[in-house]
Amino acid sequence: MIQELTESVDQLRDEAQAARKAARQLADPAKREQLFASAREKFESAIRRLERGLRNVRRDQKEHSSDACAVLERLSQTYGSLGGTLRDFALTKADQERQKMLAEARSQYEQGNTYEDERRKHCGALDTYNMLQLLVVELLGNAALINDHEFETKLQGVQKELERQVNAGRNDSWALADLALVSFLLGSPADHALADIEQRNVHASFYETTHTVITNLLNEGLGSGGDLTKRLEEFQRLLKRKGGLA
Amino acid sequence: MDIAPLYGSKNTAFSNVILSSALEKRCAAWCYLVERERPHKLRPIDLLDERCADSFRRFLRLSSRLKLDLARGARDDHMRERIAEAEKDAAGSGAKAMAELLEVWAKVRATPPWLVESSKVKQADCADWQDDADKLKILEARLEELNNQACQLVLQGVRSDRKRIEGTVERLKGSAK
Repeated sequence: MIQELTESVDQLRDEAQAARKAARQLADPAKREQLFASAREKFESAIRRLERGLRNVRRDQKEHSSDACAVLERLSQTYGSLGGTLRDFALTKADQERQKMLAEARSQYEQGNTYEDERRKHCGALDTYNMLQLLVVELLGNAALINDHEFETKLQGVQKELERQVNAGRNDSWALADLALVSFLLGSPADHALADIEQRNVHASFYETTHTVITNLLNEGLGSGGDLTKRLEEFQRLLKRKGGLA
Repeated sequence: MDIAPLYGSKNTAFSNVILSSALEKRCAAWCYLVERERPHKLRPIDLLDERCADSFRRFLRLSSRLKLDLARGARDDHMRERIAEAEKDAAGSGAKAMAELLEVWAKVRATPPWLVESSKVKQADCADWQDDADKLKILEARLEELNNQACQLVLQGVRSDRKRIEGTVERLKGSAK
């Protein structure tokens, strides 16, 4: 039963991702809106199936059996993808509409992080995607948060979790890229943020991955052209140079 | 196809050959299925036959997979048009909607709500089951519209299962957690 569920949901998620990707490349607003709506609908349908699947699995098995963890993994990822879709969509809007969509994206990341947290605590998962994106989307909505004490505490929480996971053996370049980003957002100068990570004997793809993360944030308008944007651009240049990127 | 576990993932040229070959095989499978069994031309009533239903399910799965693969780079307008046309046929005849409703019924039969231990039932389960019952009601209506002797046994089965679900929901909705 679980295999049938995961296969059908994976198919639906692939279709949604394809629609999301196509929407991002379209210039025609009406067509773009249609594709975003289609991606959203598919992700929401996948979530409904997964949540029902989780209830079914838990009825017959332990709360955190391997089947339940497999469903939880897809649930957290799908909420994350839905959050990302809404974030992409928000960035095509202006003013109030943009804020409204960003708030919706935030709420999806939040739910994704609830499931992700359950996986971290009970399934041994090494994942922080929703946890970090939740903060990134808040920052996209309000760049002034970078100087907010409460926000800084949240960033420190993510940093602590990322470090725990990296020390526990997580070594994918996304984790290290996130770690560099968090360290940078917490005020470390770009070269320091990188130097800390470089001590970990990183794979060459780390620079490229981190560069992608920073470029995406700049494209999304993080910092709105202010001081944070300038620092991000400097970080981007440094990554390009150190990683030998074209 | 996920090539990450293969050594081809370290060699771009080789991994492209693997991906291209996988795509060609999938295209060939789709064409073979469509030419040989013509699943896109099946009528809703044909799906009551398990062999036809299986062929239709394979057609939907393959079409969906292939559309994604073709959209990812290997440009093939003609192939995409063929898939779109076949899918349009399948949706237009009502076969796709019928297949979805029959799938709901198959799932109900695989894990009948009336066999679930009542102490484990939650409010959300009752809502899910009521949703299934509503879909089975639509399936009943479709089967009645077909007005064919071949539908009678299925219709009785669907109606009986729908009533059992409704009875279960009615019985448990007050006590569910």
